[in-house]
Amino acid sequence: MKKVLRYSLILCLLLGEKAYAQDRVVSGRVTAADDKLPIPGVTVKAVGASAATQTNADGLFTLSIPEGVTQLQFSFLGYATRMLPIAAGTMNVVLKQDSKQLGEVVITSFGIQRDKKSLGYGTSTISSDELTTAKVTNITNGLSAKIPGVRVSGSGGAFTGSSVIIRGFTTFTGSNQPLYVLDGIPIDNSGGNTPLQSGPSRSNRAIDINAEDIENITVLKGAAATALYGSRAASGVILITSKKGGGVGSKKTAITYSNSYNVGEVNRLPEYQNTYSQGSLGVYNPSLGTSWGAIMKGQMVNNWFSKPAGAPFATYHPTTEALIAYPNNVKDIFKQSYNLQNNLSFTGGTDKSSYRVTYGNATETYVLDNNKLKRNTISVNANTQVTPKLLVGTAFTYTNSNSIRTQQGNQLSNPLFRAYFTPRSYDLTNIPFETADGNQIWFNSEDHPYWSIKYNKYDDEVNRLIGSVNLKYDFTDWLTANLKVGTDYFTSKSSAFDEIGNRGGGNAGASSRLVGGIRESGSSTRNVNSYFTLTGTRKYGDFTLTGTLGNEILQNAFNFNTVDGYELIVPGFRNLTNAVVYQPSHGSSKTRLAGVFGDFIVDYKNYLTLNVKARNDWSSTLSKQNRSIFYPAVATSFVVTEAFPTLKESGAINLIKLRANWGEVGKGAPVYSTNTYFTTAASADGFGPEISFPFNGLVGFSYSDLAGQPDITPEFTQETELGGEFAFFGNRLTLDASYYERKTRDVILSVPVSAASGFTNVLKNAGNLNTKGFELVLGATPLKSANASYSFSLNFTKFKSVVTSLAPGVDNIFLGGFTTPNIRLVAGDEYGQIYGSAYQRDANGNLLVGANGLPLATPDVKKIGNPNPDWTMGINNEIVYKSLQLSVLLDIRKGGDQYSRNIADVQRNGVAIETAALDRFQADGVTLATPYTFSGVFANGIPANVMLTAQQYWGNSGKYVAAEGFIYDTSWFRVREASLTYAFPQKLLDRTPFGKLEIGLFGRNLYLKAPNYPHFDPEQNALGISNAQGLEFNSLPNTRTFGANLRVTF
Amino acid sequence: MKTIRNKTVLAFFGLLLFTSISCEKFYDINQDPDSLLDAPLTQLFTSATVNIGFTGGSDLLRYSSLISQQLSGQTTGGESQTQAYEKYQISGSDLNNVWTSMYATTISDLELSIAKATAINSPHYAGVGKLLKAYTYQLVVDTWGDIPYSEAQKFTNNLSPKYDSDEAIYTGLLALIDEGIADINAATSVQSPGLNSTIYPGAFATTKSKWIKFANTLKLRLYLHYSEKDAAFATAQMNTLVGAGTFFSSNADNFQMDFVASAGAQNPIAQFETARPDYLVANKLMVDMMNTKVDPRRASYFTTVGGNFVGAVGGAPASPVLYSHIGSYLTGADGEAPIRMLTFAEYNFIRAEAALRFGVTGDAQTFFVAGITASMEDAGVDAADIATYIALNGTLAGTPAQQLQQIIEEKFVANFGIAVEPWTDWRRTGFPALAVPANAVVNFVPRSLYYPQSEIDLNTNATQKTGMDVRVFWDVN
Repeated sequence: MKKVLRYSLILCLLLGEKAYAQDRVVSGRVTAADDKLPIPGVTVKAVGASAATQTNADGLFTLSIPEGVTQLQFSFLGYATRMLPIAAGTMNVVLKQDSKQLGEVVITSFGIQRDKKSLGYGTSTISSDELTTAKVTNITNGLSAKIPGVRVSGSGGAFTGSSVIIRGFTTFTGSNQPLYVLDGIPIDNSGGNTPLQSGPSRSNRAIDINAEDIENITVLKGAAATALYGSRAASGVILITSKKGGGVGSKKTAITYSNSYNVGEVNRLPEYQNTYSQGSLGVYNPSLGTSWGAIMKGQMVNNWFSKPAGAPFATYHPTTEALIAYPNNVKDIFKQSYNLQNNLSFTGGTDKSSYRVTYGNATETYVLDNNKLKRNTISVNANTQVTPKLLVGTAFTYTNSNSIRTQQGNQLSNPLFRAYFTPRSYDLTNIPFETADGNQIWFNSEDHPYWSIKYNKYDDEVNRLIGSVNLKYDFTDWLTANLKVGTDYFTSKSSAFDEIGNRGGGNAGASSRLVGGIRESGSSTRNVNSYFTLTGTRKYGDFTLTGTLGNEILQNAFNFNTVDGYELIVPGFRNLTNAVVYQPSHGSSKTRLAGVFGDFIVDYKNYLTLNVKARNDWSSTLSKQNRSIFYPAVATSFVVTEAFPTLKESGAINLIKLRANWGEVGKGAPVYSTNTYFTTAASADGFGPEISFPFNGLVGFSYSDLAGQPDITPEFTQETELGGEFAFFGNRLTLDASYYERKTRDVILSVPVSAASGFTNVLKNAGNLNTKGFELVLGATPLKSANASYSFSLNFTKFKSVVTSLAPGVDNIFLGGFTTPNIRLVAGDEYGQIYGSAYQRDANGNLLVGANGLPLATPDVKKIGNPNPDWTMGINNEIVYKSLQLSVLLDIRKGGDQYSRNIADVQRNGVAIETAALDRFQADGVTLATPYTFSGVFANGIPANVMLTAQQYWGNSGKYVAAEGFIYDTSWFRVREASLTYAFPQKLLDRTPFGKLEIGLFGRNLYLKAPNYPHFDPEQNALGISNAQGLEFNSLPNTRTFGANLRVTF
Repeated sequence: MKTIRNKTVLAFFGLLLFTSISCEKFYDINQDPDSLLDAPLTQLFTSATVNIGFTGGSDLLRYSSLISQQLSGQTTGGESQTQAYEKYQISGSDLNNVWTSMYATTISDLELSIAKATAINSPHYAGVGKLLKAYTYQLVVDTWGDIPYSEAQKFTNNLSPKYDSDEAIYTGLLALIDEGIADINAATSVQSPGLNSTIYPGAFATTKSKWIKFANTLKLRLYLHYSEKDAAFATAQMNTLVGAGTFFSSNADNFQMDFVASAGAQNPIAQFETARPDYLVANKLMVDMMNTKVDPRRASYFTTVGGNFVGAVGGAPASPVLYSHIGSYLTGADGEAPIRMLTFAEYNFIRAEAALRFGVTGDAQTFFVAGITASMEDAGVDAADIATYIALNGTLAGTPAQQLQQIIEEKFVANFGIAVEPWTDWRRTGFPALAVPANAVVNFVPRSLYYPQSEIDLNTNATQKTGMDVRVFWDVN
């Protein structure tokens, strides 16, 4: 305590009161060049002295200035700063909007604002307009192709989010997703991992943020940029700044209403053959799922309704039919989706206060029935100047998100599990799929697609409050304190229902198959944080010193309750009381973290900057002796064009800035990992059978297979970055590029060990990971005239993360998937490779073919693909003609493999068009043709010459025998987003009640070219936001959307 | 005034800054309130017995019943895993799961139970734990051969346990069973297994004799396996054992675990039938064998197709509706059937074979009939039908080899649903004769399985086999 007082005292002694002789008063008015309206809140400063003020709501200012001052400086965010000599009388000052300037004040961490020019590290900011071009509901989907150094991978379906990987991978089995911070409050973005074999996909919780409430998003990438977030910083930080009211004193009130509506459809469906029927070996067989049957020419056949013993379903459909193709039997499963958004905001202020109040709602459906997502958000953002020195602010957002969803994944209740290869002769659209009692009518063993959509239900609801209170106190004009206390609190409940007679147990697990099941889950997440900063700036001659000292305290608490009920009695009754058997589970966690940090900047003559940062964290998830962890960083920048101003004289060169930095950040240890526990007993094999406890009234506990680790420490990532920013030809050509190297050590890894030890995994700090990467943004304005302009911004991302070592004795780690294929980390290889069965080859690489002419699979898995793209690129084109603005975002991805089960399915089951490319029958229409052969060699080295039927070639024993056969290159070119906006000219609006009126058209995924990936959109993948990328198993399709929007301000 | 206010505010903030750090209680929250750091013996033991019962009806049963051609793999669409297994495409990766559940769940919970029981002076628990451990290891040895034993379950003290010779492990298991029997016979035990044991549930006073019978019968099974390797030793041991020990005397003594006809508690065979319909059907070999003898067990063993019992051969075209599926004997009406692991029927067949081949005390013919009878009774066959069947098929006749074939083939039918043992009998005796399926990936019937891929990847002491023709030590014929 004594110590505390002493420190406080020292700090207090640093304070002093200053007094200046004030002998002159200047006044004037500041207006904007574009709309000629007064600008409130402009800082007016006497050059060479400390006197300063701000303009009021009418743009007026009055300032007393000391003797000797000859110039005033006018500055306002988004406008070019002007220095003007003091004129007699009222000064009329016009400020020009400066799009370059707009991005130049960057919020780094904890609300610390920095002039971008002085930053020693690269950051990227995207504006509200860029984010909302295509009106996506989930902001993570709106980031695709927009940020250099960031790889955004969607998972296809509109209800899912996107994985956001910033500058490569930093950990093995933990999350590589960045920290999301909304107005200084860290927010939870959990979820988004798509379970492989159960349930629906779920949204990552960034979906609770309404993109229309976001002013901009700044992405802090490297270790030097994120250092102040310490042990949460390794995967980068996404700083979201919400829209605020006008500045204090603005008095500008506005009501803005915006609306958008779009419709969507599946953007890519397989091309089917429509020649051959359900069946096998050239014969129609209504009990099989394959389409290797007879030529369809309208001949009468006994269909499946005549088949099951006693033909129990014969009353629902004729038992004979003419064999014809139903070309749209798959397409008809999909509907048109829509997305409707409404947003209403009120902004304004008084002399001392400003506010923004908004309400937004979004409703979105998916291309399958019984999928709907609704979100309502209310947010309030208010600030008031309590005293001239004390600003109090608050920001609260309440979100209610709810959704209904159908099943996905590699399981029998996924309506698309086998639907993509529905036999070509099965009239899926019109043949009844249920009896009068709701029993399924379906020849195969999975749930009928329409039955599953109708009866296997899932809904969830999240109620979320993110809020903070902020106190800002200006001690003097050079020292400011900031205190923010905030919370992110949400409850989530979900209710899932597998109807009696279901075949997949998709929601409630294997035990609900046939007998029905219900899963009711509820969870609450309660994160509280506070931070305090003290920021001072002083100038000593040519040096400017800026420093921030601060601390942060966080507590994250989570708990969940789930009850599964099985063996339902009353069909369709979605209530736990309808179950006979119950299975409860409960869990909770709580973590605490406190950190102190400092950020010090020495700036010499505005061109040389040295920035030193450090943070020390104390975390509850570490053992006492390991609890304190230190994270340092240093960054420097050198603005060549400021140091040698003559360079700028020709006008060809506007900016040359070089930067370099180094930093070390971390990733915290998981909660409760310092001990080994006993867990609720269970039995299961990989096929569905499972025993859950309590078993027959008995409780059981089993020693965990996962050993805890008392010595666990955070992971550490060190990063060195070199970069530069350049501007030429009056800023019409700009370039910002960074090269970086990252070394991650002590990766927290659940190290797999021999199960014979009694454990299957032991938690350790083990393993190293290196990433080298390069990113750039090239901006150009090739055309610029009074009425028209064309500009583009190209961002390029390339990084390669290599697993340099895993734990001793461990050469690979399973990240996800199946026995074959799966995604692995392998020491010495690039992150997350695809392993699976391969075709056997001889020593010369020739395909080995068995005596029957068919390829052979290797008994064990081999590396068969690399899912990491070589590079990704986004090109945002902007064409402005008068009030019309067209923007087109191109998304280009080069390389990256994916195993596609969907492609495998449509081929091996004989429905894909290529399986009918060669006639399956000889001229007699009965004898099977054998036009195919696998070009390879027999075991004895003699070239194989066995001629095969289409079914042999494409079928289960042919191409399908090895996973290697279904590795496809996902390279794509797509028009990711486009919008056309027309803003009504101000002159026209002057006679209307509207302040601004804007209408537009927009679309997403408008065009896709994936030259090496047939039938499906390569963006579909199986595992969602997961470290395991590159597998696609029965995934839900991606959509193309097209819509119109309106924005009006009163 | 202003200055003072500034200083006050600053001091307040300063306090906030520096008092928030390093308060031990603040951080001391890293123990999971929802998990146990230590579990009571009673519940640990329940976990072990349930997992033993589950394993008896899961992966190992599927592999061994497909290899020994009691069942056949089928599919309605793409090749199913059971079809792959039946053509002997059983890779190391397929075996990770069962190995893990046996070593890291069943045996590890048993080891902890034994240690806890010993620590709290409860030999009854320790004894039963040792018997269950011996039974589980017997399955592991018979499936793989050399396996980790002496260094297994040392947890973080040894993450790469060495592989012990299968023969040495068998010796160890016999000693372990004797230790178990001694523990079970201890006069006092602070705690004893009761209704918490899902195998032989009930008061220990009444179940104790069953555990002892189980111990002796399991020893008989081990000695019988030994007999091919060292007939003289096995014979001597069996004679001694038969003279002194008590054995199963009815189906009520069967070493099995009962399941419950409710979700999440059904036996794994029934659950597999629901989860993977049409993956398993009757095998032609077994069905034809039973059809020839008009075996009354068929009605509960299998379903009918058009009133007939029809089995499939490995590699048959996809059409599961053509074949009989698993019947209520293994699944129960609703998953409540027991998982059988060592039965009174098997005991009788062991004795019949021991008497026939090694002259071990007892009459082969008598035990042969008793074995058939026990199996039929367990399958719900009524006495008259049993008598009819025995009248036609219940007499050992012909050469010793032919008589052995009769015994093993009846044992093969009786041991339907018992993991590994029918495959072991084929490996020992060559009965019933198995034809390699036409589509098999190797041209021999496997004599053991590959080691799990996880062992090869993670245990520095593990070396993969050259093939599935590597034999377990007792497999010398």
